[in-house]
Amino acid sequence: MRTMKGMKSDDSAMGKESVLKIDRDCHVDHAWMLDQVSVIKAVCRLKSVDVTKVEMAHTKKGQHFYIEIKPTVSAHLANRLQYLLGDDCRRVDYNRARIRSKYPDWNKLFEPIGQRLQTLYPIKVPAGTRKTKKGGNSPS
Amino acid sequence: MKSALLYKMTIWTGPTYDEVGGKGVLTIEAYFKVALWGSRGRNRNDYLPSVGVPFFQDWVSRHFGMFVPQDEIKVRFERERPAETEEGEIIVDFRVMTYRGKSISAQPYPREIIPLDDHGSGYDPGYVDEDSDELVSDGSEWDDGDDEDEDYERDEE
Repeated sequence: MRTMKGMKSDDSAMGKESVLKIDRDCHVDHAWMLDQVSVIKAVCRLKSVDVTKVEMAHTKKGQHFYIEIKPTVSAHLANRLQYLLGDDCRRVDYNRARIRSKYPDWNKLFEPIGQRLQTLYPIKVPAGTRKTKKGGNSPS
Repeated sequence: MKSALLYKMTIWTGPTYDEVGGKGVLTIEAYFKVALWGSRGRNRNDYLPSVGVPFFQDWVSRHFGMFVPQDEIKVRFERERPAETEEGEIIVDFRVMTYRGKSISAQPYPREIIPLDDHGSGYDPGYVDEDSDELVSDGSEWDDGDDEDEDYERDEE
């Protein structure tokens, strides 16, 4: 694996990451969040990573995103993807320091109790409400 | 409650200046991990902070020779995940973040274990040590009920 100069490449103690966590401190319309899902998929594709699920929780400052990916990736690449996806800069800094010190639970994202998750991708269409090619509803 | 839950609590203080050790500006972080049965609200708001905060203060005192008052300590939780059953100990990892130029580096410290026996842990509220009948803490002084944002809010410190 190629690494930046001075960065250790031994990720054996760190395990692989299957979930990216993004902290966005900005309130936006729902349509913008759906755009965000497209961006998430495109950025992950740049690194040959597929997105299988995107969940979001509202916070006081904005949103938290939980992104399930396949295949799993190294901690360094996970943090890099999180940076590319607009994660909080201080969080990226702290996570990078934790990764370099080989702390396996490096990806901290704090939430108040009972925070609800909303699935943004894949979008679930209730049975019987999917539109057919002719414009009507599909038979249930 | 259908299953036990795996709790991940982070307690930290700082950024603060290390006057004793001369290590410059640092943030001390402790990561607690344990699976527990019981009410999530009680475990989050009362039980785990009441165990973790005195333990954290004790650890900082031992390693850095300074006392951290409660109002300079932050407690936050990650999203819980289901666990198979309750665990008999709390695993605690430590990182001390130091600020060198433009980058942050994390210094690891040895992991510590807080055993949870039938009476609870030595840091539990109401824990009775069999050798002495003294209460370690009644836990009532801990208030985690602040309404601050629970995000990753380093900027507010």
